[in-house]
Amino acid sequence: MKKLLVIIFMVCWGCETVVDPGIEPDDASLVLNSIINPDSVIKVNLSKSWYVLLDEREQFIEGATIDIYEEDKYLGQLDHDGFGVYTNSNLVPKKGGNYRIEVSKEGYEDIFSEATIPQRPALISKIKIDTILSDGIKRLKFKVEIDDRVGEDYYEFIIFGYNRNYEFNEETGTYLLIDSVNIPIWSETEDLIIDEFQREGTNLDYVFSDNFFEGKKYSLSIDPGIFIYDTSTPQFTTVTVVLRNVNKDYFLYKRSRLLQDWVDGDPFAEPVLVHNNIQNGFGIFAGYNQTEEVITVR
Amino acid sequence: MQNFFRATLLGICLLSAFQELYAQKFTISGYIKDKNTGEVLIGANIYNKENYQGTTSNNYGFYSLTLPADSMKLMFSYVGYQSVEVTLNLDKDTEINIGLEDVVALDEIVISGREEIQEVTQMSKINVPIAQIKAMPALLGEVDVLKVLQLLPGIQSGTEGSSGLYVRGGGPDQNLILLDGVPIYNASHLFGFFSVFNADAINNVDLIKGGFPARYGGRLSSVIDITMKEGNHEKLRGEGAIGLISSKLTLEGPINERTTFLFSGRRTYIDLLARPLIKAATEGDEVAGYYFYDLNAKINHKFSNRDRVYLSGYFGNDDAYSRYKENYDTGVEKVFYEDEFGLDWGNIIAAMRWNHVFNPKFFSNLTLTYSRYRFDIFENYKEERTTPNGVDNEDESISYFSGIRDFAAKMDFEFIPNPNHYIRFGINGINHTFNPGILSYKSTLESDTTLGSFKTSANEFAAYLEDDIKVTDHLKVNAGIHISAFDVEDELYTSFQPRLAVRYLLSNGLSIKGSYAQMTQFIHLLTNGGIGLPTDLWLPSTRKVAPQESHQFAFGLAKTIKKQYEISVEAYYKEMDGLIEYKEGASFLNIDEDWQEKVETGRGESYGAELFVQKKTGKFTGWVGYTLSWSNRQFDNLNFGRSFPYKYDRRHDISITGVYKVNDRIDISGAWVYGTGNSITLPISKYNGFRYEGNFWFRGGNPITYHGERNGYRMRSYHRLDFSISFSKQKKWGTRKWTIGTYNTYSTRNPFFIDIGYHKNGGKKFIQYSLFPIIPSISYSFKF
Repeated sequence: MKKLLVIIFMVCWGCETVVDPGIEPDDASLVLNSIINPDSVIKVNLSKSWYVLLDEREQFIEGATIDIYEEDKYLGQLDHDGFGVYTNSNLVPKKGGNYRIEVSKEGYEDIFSEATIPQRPALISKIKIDTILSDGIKRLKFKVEIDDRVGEDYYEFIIFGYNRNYEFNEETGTYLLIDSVNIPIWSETEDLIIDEFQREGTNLDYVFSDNFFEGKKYSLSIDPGIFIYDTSTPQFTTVTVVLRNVNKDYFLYKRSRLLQDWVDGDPFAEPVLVHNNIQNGFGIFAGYNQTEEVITVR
Repeated sequence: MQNFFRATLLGICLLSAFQELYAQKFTISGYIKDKNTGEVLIGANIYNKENYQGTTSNNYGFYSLTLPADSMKLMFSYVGYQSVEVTLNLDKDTEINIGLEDVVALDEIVISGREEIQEVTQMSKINVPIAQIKAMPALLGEVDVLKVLQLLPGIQSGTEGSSGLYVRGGGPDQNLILLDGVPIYNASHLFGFFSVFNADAINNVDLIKGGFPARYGGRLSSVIDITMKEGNHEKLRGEGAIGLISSKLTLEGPINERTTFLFSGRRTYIDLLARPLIKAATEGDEVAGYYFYDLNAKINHKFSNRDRVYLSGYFGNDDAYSRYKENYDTGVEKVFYEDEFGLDWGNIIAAMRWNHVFNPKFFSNLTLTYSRYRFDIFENYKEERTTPNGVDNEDESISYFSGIRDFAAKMDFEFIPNPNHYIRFGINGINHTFNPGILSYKSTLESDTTLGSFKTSANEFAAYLEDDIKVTDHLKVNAGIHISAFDVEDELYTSFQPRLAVRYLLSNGLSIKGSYAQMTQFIHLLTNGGIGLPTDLWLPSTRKVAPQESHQFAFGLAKTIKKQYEISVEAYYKEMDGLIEYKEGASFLNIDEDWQEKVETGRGESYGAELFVQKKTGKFTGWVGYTLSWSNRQFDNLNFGRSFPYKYDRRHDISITGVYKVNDRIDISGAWVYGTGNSITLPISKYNGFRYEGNFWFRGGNPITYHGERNGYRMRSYHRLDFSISFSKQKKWGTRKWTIGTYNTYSTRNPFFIDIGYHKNGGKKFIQYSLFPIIPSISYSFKF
């Protein structure tokens, strides 16, 4: 398709001119990213936006005041923990709770947002595991049966695993485990309930709604990148299948963000506006309630 | 509402019919033509000089006027032609076929022209004489009908140089562009920079942007009714031009006493000029280029004074291509490979029309048409490796094509019982076949694959009834209904569309007009980027995607001053529903996805006011147009459901045009346009998102781009001055003319699009790309 563009511009015989269209930089705004859940303390990452023509990734904001309210009742303040991360070890959100966050920092407009944690976690009724041969190597394939409740629900699916790294000991001629890091595992899917742009290539996580299986059971097919090369040095011994019941803001944010990444560089694609629920600023304040199933890899 | 319209129409018809019963009347009918060429004059004025009762000729030059028995002086007039007065004693039905003579020195003669603007019930209609269109300055000297229409109020151009029309906030698909009654789906050549209409083959152009009479349907925003010439009835004539990028030739003349023909052809030759340069630069390995051509042909046969048949056709194609081939010998093997990439698109239309005059008051026309638009992007790759062991061949071809094909039949009737009624009714049916984007892959190494959306057939039907009623000397009403249906995928959509236009003439010659039109459109155009790519997809309404509908109200004032200046002011409000747009992130490049999964449906509204002052006669002709308008869209799943400006929402749009005839040999013309900049979506800032690391979320990932509101940034305003001067000279064999012109005379850097680029020092910056600086042109034309 690049040739099509070449032809178009060839036809225009390169008569473009370059001028400054006079677009002025916007003032920076506060950016708040926080996904809360009933299994961990509230943690917020605070940064600031930057003008699109600049390349300034490290934009932590320190010294901000962050107040948390639960059902309009003041809960407490978050403390800065370094690199723009704010937390409070006493503040653990509860299922079904509605939380309001207010952030103020001198030189910026105050920002605020609200998030509700889904009352009930998502339900996994069954996981079927198949072993398939992929280019001669064994690979696991999951079918995760979701038990959807009546009503509008949004989900996020992730597989975590402790990735085991080994070092070869030349003296003993064996491999030694040197570390084990819990990471989300890349996976693939061709399941049609997943948007086409999420089905392309590999992903760490998938978001989807229950539009196509409202109130019913549905088996989601996932091919995680879990290969079984050698039983003496397994990449994973267990993995954790995580299904999250996420709120609508989270779903819209995640989906639009993945879509924006996906179309990056396509000159014919319509611009994607990423969902934002931070008043006077940018980012996301949302919640989830999750279910985990640990799978032994063999 | 529907019952009200039915009752009103019936009541007015009955009342008028009773009034006519008591006087003995006879009908004068016939055809009005150009005396020298025999070409029909559309919209010529015929009236009784005593009481100004009259009518106008239709699209075939036919007129019918029923008056009480009496002696009278009948006037026949048309813009640019010398009026003819006929004295007759009307005591029986009379046929008068009359030829009017065009005049060179228009200012020396009193011209009545067409029916004056304040007289007609129809509002929001503009006729631009084809001679005026041809006299206007043109990009690269190539006269373009649609570009001239862009200079009219209420009509906006799309991007720089393109022929797209955006009428009263509507999209480019909402224009019913008819060439001899046949819809043209893609009216663009050269990626939208030129239209497919060769002005030398055209007789008349009418544009309607509101208050649509019931006889028109199928589109929401405008009707552009273009009529081809019939061909000279008197002798063989020709005209042509040789320009910088193209040449054209038109021949017309009589085959015998009853038959005439017209043939017109045009071709660009950028490819022929550039081919040696590209070959030289690539040592003969590569060929690339672009050309377009179009052919118009028409044959007319008059079987009798009652029956005429017209056969017309249009064939046009654009071809952009690049071919590369290479041979080499490694000593071990000989390799030959060839790669060809191309983009082809074009229209074919054909029409057969049969006029039959049942009696002097009753005229009919049967039209059978075929229309096809198709584009094809393809790439063919061939590789041949010859080794001592044999020859290995690898062939691959990939093709992405889309298009629409129509077969249609239409029967129209015109019944003119008396000067107080002009009744039209008819039916039509169209069989559409849509190819909404199919990818075909063939390879000697892999199995053949076909992806995309498959063919869809649909049938569209319509019937209409309208009457142009003179209720009193001051009050005229055009009332009608248009009923249509669309049968697709076992779904039947129906639509009942009332139409009403009212004109009240005040004693000072000022008329007040109002209109209401409901329109339904069963087909959609899915367009990407707005740069007039031929890859835009024509699509049907389906079970998932409903038809488009609009309601338009217009109110206006019209007056002719000093018989020369037509002035109109109109205000309008238009609501549209069922509009489609690509989803955020969707692109026509995602060809393995069904088109219905890539679109959002939503609503639109547009409103504004237009001022139009036109002078059609005299040494100086031209117009001033001003539009103040707003056009917005609202889609539940775009821009977070918030209303946003349409891409071509243009607050102010001004055009000033003029053609001055210095003397018989020299004409000067100019056009200045100004428009508020287009709305675009532009990245404004960036910020960090979050991502997972371990089992907790974290700052990171690609930064998120914040675009602000959809179409929230307004590009700089657009303005341009075009100028041309032509020198004509009478020769023994005919007339020759040299035309020298400049497009964008003061070389404004008008915005085409904005992108992010880099400074020399590596920093990023916004860059506004412009297409055309000053473009001079020279062309030579001739006429014999």
